[in-house]
Amino acid sequence: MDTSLMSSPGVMMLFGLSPILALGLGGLLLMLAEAFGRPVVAHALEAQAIGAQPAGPEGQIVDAGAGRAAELALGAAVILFAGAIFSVALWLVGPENVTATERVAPYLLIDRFSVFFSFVVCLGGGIAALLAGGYLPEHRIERGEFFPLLVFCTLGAQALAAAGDLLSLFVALETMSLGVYCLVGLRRTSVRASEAALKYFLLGSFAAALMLFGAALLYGATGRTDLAGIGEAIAGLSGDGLEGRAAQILIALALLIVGLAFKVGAVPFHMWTPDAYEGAPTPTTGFMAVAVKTAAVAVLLRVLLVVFADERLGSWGTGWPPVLATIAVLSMFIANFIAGRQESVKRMLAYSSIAHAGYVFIGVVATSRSVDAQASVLFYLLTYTVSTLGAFGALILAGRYRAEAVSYEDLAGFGRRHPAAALAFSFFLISLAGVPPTAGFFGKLYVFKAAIQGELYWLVVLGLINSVIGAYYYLKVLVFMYMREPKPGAPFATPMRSGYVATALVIAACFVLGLGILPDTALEAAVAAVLGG
Amino acid sequence: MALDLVVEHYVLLSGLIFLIGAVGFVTRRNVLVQLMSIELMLNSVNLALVAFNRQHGGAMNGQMFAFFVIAVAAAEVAVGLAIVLQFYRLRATVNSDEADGLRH
Amino acid sequence: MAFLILTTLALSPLAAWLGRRSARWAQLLALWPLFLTIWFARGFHSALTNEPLTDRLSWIPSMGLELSFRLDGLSGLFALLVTGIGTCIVVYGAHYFDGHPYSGRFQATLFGFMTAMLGVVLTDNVLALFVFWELTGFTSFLLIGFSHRKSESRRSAIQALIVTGSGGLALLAAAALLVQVTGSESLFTHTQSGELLRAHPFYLPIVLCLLLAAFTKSAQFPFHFWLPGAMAAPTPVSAYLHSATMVKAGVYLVARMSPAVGGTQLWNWTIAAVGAFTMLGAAYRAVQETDLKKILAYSTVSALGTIFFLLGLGTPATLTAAVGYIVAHACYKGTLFLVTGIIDHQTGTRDVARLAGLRRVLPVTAVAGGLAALSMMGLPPFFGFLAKEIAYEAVLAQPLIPQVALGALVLASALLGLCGLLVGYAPFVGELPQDLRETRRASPGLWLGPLLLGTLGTLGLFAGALSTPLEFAARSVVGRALPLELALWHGVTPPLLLSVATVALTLLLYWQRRGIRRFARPRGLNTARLYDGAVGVLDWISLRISRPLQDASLSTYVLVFVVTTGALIGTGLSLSIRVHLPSLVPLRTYEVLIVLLVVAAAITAVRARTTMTAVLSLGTAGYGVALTFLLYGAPDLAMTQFSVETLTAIIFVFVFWQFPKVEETTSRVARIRDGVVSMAFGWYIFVLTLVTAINPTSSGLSSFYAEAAPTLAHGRNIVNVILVDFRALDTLGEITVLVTAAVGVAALLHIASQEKLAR
Repeated sequence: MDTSLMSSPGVMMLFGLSPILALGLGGLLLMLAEAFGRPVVAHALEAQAIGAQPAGPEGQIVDAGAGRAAELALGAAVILFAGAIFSVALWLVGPENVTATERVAPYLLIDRFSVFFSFVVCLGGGIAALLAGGYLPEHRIERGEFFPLLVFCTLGAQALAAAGDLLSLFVALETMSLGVYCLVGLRRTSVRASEAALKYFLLGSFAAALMLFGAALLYGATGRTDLAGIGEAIAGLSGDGLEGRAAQILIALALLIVGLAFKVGAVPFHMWTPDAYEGAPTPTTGFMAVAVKTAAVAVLLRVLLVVFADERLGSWGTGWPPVLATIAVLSMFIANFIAGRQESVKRMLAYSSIAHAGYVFIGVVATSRSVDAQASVLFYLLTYTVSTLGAFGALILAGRYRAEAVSYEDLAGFGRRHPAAALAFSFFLISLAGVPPTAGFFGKLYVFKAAIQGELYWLVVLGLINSVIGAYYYLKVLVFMYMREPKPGAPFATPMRSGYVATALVIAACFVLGLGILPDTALEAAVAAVLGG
Repeated sequence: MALDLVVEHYVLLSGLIFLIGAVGFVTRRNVLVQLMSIELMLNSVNLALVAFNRQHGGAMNGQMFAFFVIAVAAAEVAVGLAIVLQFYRLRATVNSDEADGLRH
Repeated sequence: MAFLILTTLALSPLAAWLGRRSARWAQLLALWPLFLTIWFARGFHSALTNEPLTDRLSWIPSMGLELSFRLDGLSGLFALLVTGIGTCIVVYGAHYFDGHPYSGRFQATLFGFMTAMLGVVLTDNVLALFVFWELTGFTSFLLIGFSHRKSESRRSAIQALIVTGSGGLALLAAAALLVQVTGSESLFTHTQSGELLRAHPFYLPIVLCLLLAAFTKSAQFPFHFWLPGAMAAPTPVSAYLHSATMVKAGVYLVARMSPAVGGTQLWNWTIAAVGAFTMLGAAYRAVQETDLKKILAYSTVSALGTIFFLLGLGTPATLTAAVGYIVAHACYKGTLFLVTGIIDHQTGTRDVARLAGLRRVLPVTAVAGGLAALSMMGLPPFFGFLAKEIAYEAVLAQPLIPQVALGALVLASALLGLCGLLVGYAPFVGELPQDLRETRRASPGLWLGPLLLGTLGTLGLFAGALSTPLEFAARSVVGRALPLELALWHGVTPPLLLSVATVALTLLLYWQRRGIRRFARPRGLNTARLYDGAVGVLDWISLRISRPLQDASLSTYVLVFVVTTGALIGTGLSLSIRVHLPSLVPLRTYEVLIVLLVVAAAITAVRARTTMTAVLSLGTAGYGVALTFLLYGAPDLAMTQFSVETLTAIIFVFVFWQFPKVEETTSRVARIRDGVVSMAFGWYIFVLTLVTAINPTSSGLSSFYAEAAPTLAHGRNIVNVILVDFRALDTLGEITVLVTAAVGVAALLHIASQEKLAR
């Protein structure tokens, strides 16, 4: 490596921002490619031939992006995985050695914490792009816009994890959210999709407005908008200054928690989750379940540990830990209870993601008392990301156009029809259930260990109980896949063939296996990535 | 001009508009009105930001913030209207209570 | 050692491949467990003479998880059982599943299980113990559900997994607490820190969690019900997992942890009581069954109860007796299961009433069954006799509850002996029924395993030679050396008399077996129904909470959202502050006007009945806000607000063109409810603004931008400079938002226009 080149501030700056720039520029390119690319007529004709809805009035192409979803998917996946690789490179060089970025982007914190999350969301986005590459053409959702939107959403998620200022935080959050609202509603002619998008949008905007009001209050109380500055200002308050501002700060805290808990999908702000997850195209669902959630937890951690780090706010008497603990317990119990009686596997996975938010929150609560807790949350999110996307991917693979695999019954005998996909599916599910030695198990183990270290025994006990309840419905899928045959005459989903989805599954499976057998590298990375560590 | 404005009044006004917006959002069933209510709430935030900026002076952070909020609010309206339009075309209603097709 | 265990796992793909071939090839797989048996036998021997073998392999150091293995007496004994019986099972399974479509899957899972089970008994790391423990449960789940399409076996598989899996989580909790208390993950260290553990406040939770894990795994009351259910598994699996090895994991755990946490009243009484109850109850239940496998299942539960009972009594002698009993039971019960498997495989039935005279068609099997039955009855010179002798002797000597304990033990032994006769003897004697005449003879591959295992029971002949290894194994439980002398003949001693009495009672019962079976089954103690009930309750709760919480109605969602947020803010408010009203300076006229304008417009906007009114009011409110910006000396901001507001209004109007009048159809009650909630919520926000005490401007804030703008960024309009220069990246982010929105809107609206065209 040319040291003189690397030491030049401009290069270093570009290098430091490379994960973000890769997505930004890539997204623009993708958008142009989508808008000006050559339309492919053949696909539409083929779609018509097999009795699909005509793409336009005379079977002509109405949309330049139609029929090219697969190519765009490849482009998006390359861009997103490039983002992930840049993150790894940046990690290896060490963000602390790349100081030049502070001058250009003082409000984007390029530290190990944000680079770790950048990797996780890029990985999640990339896998989701691959899934979409198989799913969208199969289900005739000819929306080329999906892919630039996906890249921009990931960009927003990335920036959210790196936000060091209320303003950047808000902008990043909206980049991510607005894109996701559209992704949810992209499914053509689907009443359910538009309904899902509508609910998600209205509640999401309301939550964003509440959060914004909280941000304004924080600014009012401290006169700062950078997170670290607010944290210092709060820590410096005492006496009269404190008396006057305590209300403002506490309410800002409450509003920010509400807004972020909404994005994470934690009970009782979770109610949009099952509807939106069910109505959205499955790759979008996967993306929402992992990247949006991950980024929201990242920013929640940063907000809690940087802005509200003051010991009065981090205490069990007057601070956020009891609130988050309540949210964690509610999320686990309510989600697990309701998940058990779902008939749709997709909806079950939606509830499962709420339950996982609960487990994550155990870790977040433990940050108030345990040094390992932050790392445990980071590691958990990584394991959760690959397991969940894998599960959604396998679900995609199980269905075809107009015969999407939705219910448990659809999966009856899937183990025989497509042994490889069923094996992968089982694998992801047992990882989500936390059976050793899979990635999910170590994620849970580490979170619970941190909670024990923080002497939150009761939370651990409740978490363990919920793991058992959770195992029940995950294993139900296995039972249907392997130990049941479809009822005679009943429709069942026939598996689709798609190289994209298969690749995505292989990538996810490699991660789940790798993190299950040799989690040490990732664990050490998570430990290194903690804030202020 | 008007350099001796009192910040409290405007913070109060901001709270009041926020209240009205929230009330509108919760009580109305017309999604368009709900959308507008959210707009009102964002506007009230802007007001608070600018008022606080007055109080803290100097760095102009509040005004900056308000700028971004205005633009983002516009984007939000655009996306929101698109979603509402799509919903309307499929369901021929703008009543949010009729969005109840997704059940367990 | 770590290498050998991991190799077992690595061999499972090979097992899948080879297992699919014919039995001739598949049985070659047995070479590996055979090799392991020899290796562990040597290891056991060297541990006996030298130090225990240890081996460690770093796995996840940052979590304190390492693959450290330690072969001492107890571990060695269990490892020998696992590999030795495993050898028999692999051969047997190869023939049992010959030509079965899933035979490869069976062998592969079996190797997986063997790995896990060896891990359980050999690991020295408590966290790894948990990992292996759950793996045994999971492979058992796969094997129970193996190739069965009946809904009953699916249910059993999941039931077994849930019960043992929750026990496993209790083990994890115990492990975490143990690590917390002792600061070490090593089981060996734990056994050395008995005093510390017993005095620690965590002692009670540790014991409860450990026992929960052990009782669920080893099917003790009230968790016993999963084991009879697990009999849905194919017989080779039942023989291996559900009798000889996996269900003994609980016993192993209690034995292993005895030096660490044992010896207290709590520990002894709980284990002894649960063990005794299970021993008697299950033995009684066993003799009422007519299905051979069910008889064996309940008798296994009973035998496990006996072992726990002996462990619970807690004297060195009873602990040793328990270890002896484990070995004896594994041999004869494994044999009986395999014999049952042969009967089932060849005749297609397991019904006691239909089976008789099979010695003519299955002669070797009859020999194996007979050997096992005799050992189970406790006749000399079988190992079963020796085990019973030392058990009686130990129970006679222990101080806790001699008479009652003795009676219970004798009764249970007699009932178990009866079970042995019912399975190993009754089907082979008497007249061969007509419909069984055509039964084909079993191939040598099938009967070899049971015969070998059955013959092992005759090792009792070499009683003297067995003393040393048995004592060595028991030493790990007792914690110190203990003289043990096994012999077939001690003279006429009380244990011998008891043995005679037991055998006599067994024979008496066998003679009267039909009468016994006519007894009504015990009712009221069916904990399987408890499990079903619990599942039902969970279902009910979930129904109760999912209906109101997830009614798909946006207004419910909003209500919950707002109420919770309000509650949260309310808590925040009540926690913090005294409310003090800020001193309001009188407003100026134009200020009052603006305020009134904004408020009136806002109210109109949300109350409007027609679309146009709503849009115009919203616009007016926006303009009002922009005016205040002007007042605050933010003209740029005001201009932006004006233009954006205008644009928004225009877009709204365009969109509204398409919609009907704004009309609503909410009921009066709903409107009042919403009104109350929203007013309350709004009130919070309002109060909040009231309590916001505003301190005088902190003038110390830097005028950095004002100074830096011309010099650094060559601009005079500070706001512009900040936007494009100091906040450049945020502005870029802003543009991204707009781009995203544009793309999204394009995508969504495109759909809409397509729909229109389609119509």
